[in-house]
Amino acid sequence: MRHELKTSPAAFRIEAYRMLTTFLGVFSLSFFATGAEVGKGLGDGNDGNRSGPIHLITLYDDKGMPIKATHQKPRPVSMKKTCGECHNYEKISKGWHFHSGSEQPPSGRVGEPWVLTDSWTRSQIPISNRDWKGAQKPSDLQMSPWQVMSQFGSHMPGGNYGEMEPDEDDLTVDPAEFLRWPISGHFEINCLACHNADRRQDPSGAALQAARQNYRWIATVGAGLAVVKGVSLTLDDFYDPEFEYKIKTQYDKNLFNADNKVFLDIVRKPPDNRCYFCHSVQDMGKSKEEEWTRHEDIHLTAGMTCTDCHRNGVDHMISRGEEHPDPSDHEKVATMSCRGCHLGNGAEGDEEAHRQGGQLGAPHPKHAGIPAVHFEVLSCTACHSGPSPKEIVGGSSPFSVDDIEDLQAFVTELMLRKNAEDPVSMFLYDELSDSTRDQLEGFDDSPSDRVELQGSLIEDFNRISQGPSIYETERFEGVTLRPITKQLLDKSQPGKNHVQFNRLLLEDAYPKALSRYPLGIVRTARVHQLGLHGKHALVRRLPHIMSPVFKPGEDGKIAPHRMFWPAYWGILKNDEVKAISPAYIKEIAADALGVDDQENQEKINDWRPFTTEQIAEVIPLIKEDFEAMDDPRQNEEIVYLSAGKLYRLVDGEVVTEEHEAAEAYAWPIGHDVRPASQSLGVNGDCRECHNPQSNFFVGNVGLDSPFTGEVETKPMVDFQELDPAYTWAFSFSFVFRPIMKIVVSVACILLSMILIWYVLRALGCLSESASKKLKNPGKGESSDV
Amino acid sequence: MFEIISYLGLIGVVGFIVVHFMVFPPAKKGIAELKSFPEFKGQWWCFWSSDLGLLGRLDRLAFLVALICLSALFLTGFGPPLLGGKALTGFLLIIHATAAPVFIVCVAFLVFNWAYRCRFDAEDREWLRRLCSCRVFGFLKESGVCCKLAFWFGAILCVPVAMSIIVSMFPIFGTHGLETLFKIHQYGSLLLVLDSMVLLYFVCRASNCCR
Repeated sequence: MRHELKTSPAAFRIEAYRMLTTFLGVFSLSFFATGAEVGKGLGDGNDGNRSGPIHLITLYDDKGMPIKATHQKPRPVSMKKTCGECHNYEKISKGWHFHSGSEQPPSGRVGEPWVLTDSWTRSQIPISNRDWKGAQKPSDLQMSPWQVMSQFGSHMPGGNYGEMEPDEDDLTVDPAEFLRWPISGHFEINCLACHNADRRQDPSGAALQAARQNYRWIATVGAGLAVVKGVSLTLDDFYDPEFEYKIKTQYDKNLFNADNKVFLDIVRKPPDNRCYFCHSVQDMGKSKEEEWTRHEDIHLTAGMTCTDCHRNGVDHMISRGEEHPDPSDHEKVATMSCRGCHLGNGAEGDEEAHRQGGQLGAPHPKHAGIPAVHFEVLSCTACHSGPSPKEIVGGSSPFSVDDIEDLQAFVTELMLRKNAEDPVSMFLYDELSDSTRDQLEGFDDSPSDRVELQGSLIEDFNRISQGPSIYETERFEGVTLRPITKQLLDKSQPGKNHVQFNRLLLEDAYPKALSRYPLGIVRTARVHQLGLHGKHALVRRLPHIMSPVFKPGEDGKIAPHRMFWPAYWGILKNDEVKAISPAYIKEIAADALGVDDQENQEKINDWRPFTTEQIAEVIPLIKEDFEAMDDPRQNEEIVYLSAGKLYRLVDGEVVTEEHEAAEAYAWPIGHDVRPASQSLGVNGDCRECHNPQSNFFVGNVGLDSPFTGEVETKPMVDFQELDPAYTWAFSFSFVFRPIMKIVVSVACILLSMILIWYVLRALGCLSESASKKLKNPGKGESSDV
Repeated sequence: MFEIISYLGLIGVVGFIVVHFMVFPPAKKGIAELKSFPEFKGQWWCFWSSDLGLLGRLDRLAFLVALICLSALFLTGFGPPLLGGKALTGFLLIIHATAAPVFIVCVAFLVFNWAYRCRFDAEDREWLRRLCSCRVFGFLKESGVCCKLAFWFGAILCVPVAMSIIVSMFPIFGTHGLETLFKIHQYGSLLLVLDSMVLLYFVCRASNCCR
C-alpha cells in the first residue's frame, strides 16, 4: 500500500511537475535574490566592540527573496536565508542542539532523551540517536526524520531532522512523506527561538505550527512577525505550495520600516526564558496552588543566567558543565563546571580548572567536616542539586482534579459507606469542609456541580493529606493496605509531614475512585510537552519520571538522577532488545490491548491497566503478522519490557526475568542547585545521610509499570551498586564515631606528650653536653637522652 | 601521582632491605638477641607465655595487634588506589576505619612502653658523627641505631596520620584544607608503612638494637 503511492504514475507526474516549476521559479528569481551565500560568517566574529550589533535587517523567505510588507502573498521568513546572510548556518547546524539526527553524533554524558509514549500499547520508549545506554535510535523503530519531527517537533529548535528531507531514490521512506515535505517545508533552525529577546517571542505558538505541520512557518509565528492561517496537516497530499495559497501569512506591517527592514531584538546570550521552554521540570510533588513556593536554582536567583555556564562559540557546541569535557576544549571550558567555578585555587591546583582559579567570583565552599573521600565518590550535585532525598520516589503526589477517576462513583461510595458507619468514610466526611459537605449532599452530577465539587474535594484532600497522620488501627482495619503503605506505616512518626503516607491511605481506602499517582515524580518540558497553551495544551503523565534517584553516573560518582522504566514491545536478539513501533503494535493488536479510538489519548496519557494474559495474546499476533508480511524479524523472539523485567512467551506461558535491556533509563540532574545552607551534610552533619533510615540509601524507588496489582519498590542502594549490608553497617558505625574521635585523639595526645617529653630530654642532654664541653673541652660526655 | 610515589617507595624500601641484607648479612646465629626487646627472643609472639608478667603479655599482644592492624590498614588503604585507581569505599572502608583506632591505641601503648628503651644514649653518638661526616655506609651498619631511628620516626608519623583524618571530621577546614589533610594522611601513611617495614627488618636482625 505504502509503496504503491511512491511508484504510482500520478505521484511521479506531480513530482516532475513540481521540480520543473520550482526550477523555473528559482532560476527566474535568482537574479533578484541576495542569497545566504553572500557574506556567510560575517556576523560570527567580533570586531572588538563588545556592544551587540543592532539587527535592523531585511527578512528573506526560503527562496532567498526579501520580504516586503506590501507583498500580497508573502512567504514566511527563512532563518537559513535571513540569518544565514551574515552567520555561518552550516557551521551552526553542527551544534549540540542541531546534530543529533546526523550519523554518529557525539554522545557526551547521557542526557534526557525523547520519549515515545503510547498508553494503549503500554509503551514509554527512550529515543535518541546518540549512543546513550538504554536509548533506542529512531532507526530502530523505523522512524523517519519526518516522523521524529511529527512526534517531538513542538519542543525542537529546528534544523536536524527538520531538514533531513529524504532522497528521492530512498525506497525505505513512506511515499506519502515525499508529498508532505514540500507542503510543510523545512523546519529550519529557529534562531529566534533562542536569540530573540523580544517578550513577544512565543514558543507555544511555534509549537502549534509544528503540531499543524506548518514547519516552514514556525519561526515566523514564534517571533510574532505574522499571523498564519491554515493547517498543512489537513491539506491534501497533492496540494501544491508553489501555486496554491491556502496557508496565509499576514505580516504585522507595523514591524517594517520604510526600507522594509525589521528590527529583531537579537542577543548573543539567550535569555533564560528561552531555555526554559524546553528545559523546565515540574515537580509533581507540589500542587498547582503551591507552585509559588518552588525555589529556583540558586545561581539564577543570584542573578546569573543559563548562558553564564552553558556557553558556546559559533559552532554552537554548548558546554554542558562537565568536569572532564573533551580534551580539545578542556582549557576553554575548564571553569564552566561546579568544580571549575567554585574550587579554583590558583597555581597550586592540580586540575586546569583549579589553576584558572574559578570564575565569576564564585564562593569557595567550606565543606567543613566533610572528609575528602566524599569528593571522590560523590558528584557535587549529590548534595547540592535537585530535590532532597525522598522516602519514596515513584509513590504518589498531592491530589489534582484528574485524580478523582469517577466523581459520581466516589460520591456514591463515600455516602453509602458513611451511612454504613465505615470508619474511614465517616472520618473523611467529618474532615471535609462545610461547603464541600453541602455540595456532596446536593450533588446531581450536572457539569457545574462536578466542577465545583471536584475542586472542593481536591482542596480538602490536600488539606487532610498535608496534616498529621490520619492512620489509626481501628479506622483502617477494614482497608487492604499496599506493601508500600505498610512500609511507610512502620516509619510513621508523630509530628512528621505525612503527605505521602496520607495520600496512599486515601488511595487504598478508595481504590476504584482515586487514581494511584506516583510520588516523587517530575514532568519535563520536552518529554511531557509542557508549555503548550490553549487548545493544544496537553496533560501528559507518561512517562513517570522519578526524581531524585541517587546512583552512580558515568564517572562512577553517585549523583542525583531522573529516571524512568522503559516499557515497550521488542525483538530480543543477541541479548539486546530493539523496540517495535507502538503504532504498529496498536494496529495489529488493537483488540487484545483494548484500544478505544474514541478516547482522546493525549488527554489520558497515563498507564492503563495491563495483565500478563494480554502479553500472551499480543505476542502471537505480532509473530503472525511478521510471518504474513514475511518480515525479516519473523524468526526472532518477541518480548515485552517493563519495570526492569523482560516478559517472554514460553510454551504459551508468560515468563518474567530481570534483564539488562529493561534497566531504568536515567540521566543526571544538574539543576536546581539549592543554597549551601540546604545542602546535604551541611555543617558536617554526617547523620543526614549516614544513618540506617537515610533516604539517600534506603529511600524506595518505585518499579513503575502498567501492571495492576501491588506496587513494587527497590531500595535506592540497589541503584548505587552498593551492598545493603555495607550501607547499613557503615551508617550504624556512626553511632560509635564520636567515641572513635575521642579515643584516637587521646591516643594522639599521649603519643605527642611522650614525643615532646623525649625531645625536651634530648635538648636537655645536648645542653648539658655543651656546658661540659665549655668547662672541659675534649672530655664532654653525655648521659642517655 | 600518589600511586607512582607509592610504588616507587615500596620498591625502594624492599630494594634497600634486600641490598642491606646482602651487604651486611646478619650474625651466624641468625636472628640475634635483642637486648632491648628480650621478648622478641625465640617465640616472641607467644604473649601467653608463662614467664611473662601482665605488662609483658599486654606489650606482646599490643605489638601483634598493631602489626595485624597495620597490615589491614595497608591492604585496605593502599589496595584500591594502587590496584584499581579507586577511592577507598565499601567494606574495605569499614575495615580500615575499624582497624585505625585500634592501631593508634596499640601504638600509643607500645611507644609508652618502648620509648625509654629506645632512647639515644652515649653509645649512639658515633652514628651522629658518621652521619655528620657523611659516612653513611658505616652508619647503616649500625642496625641498633637504625632501629631506634625508625621507631621514633614511626612514632612521630602516627600523630599526623591519625589526626589528619580525625580533624577532617570536625567542621574546621574548608575544601582545600580537607584535601590537604587527606594528602597528609595519604603520604604520611605511606611513610609510616615504609618506616614500619624498615623497623621490622631491623628489629628482626638487630643484635644490639636498644638497651
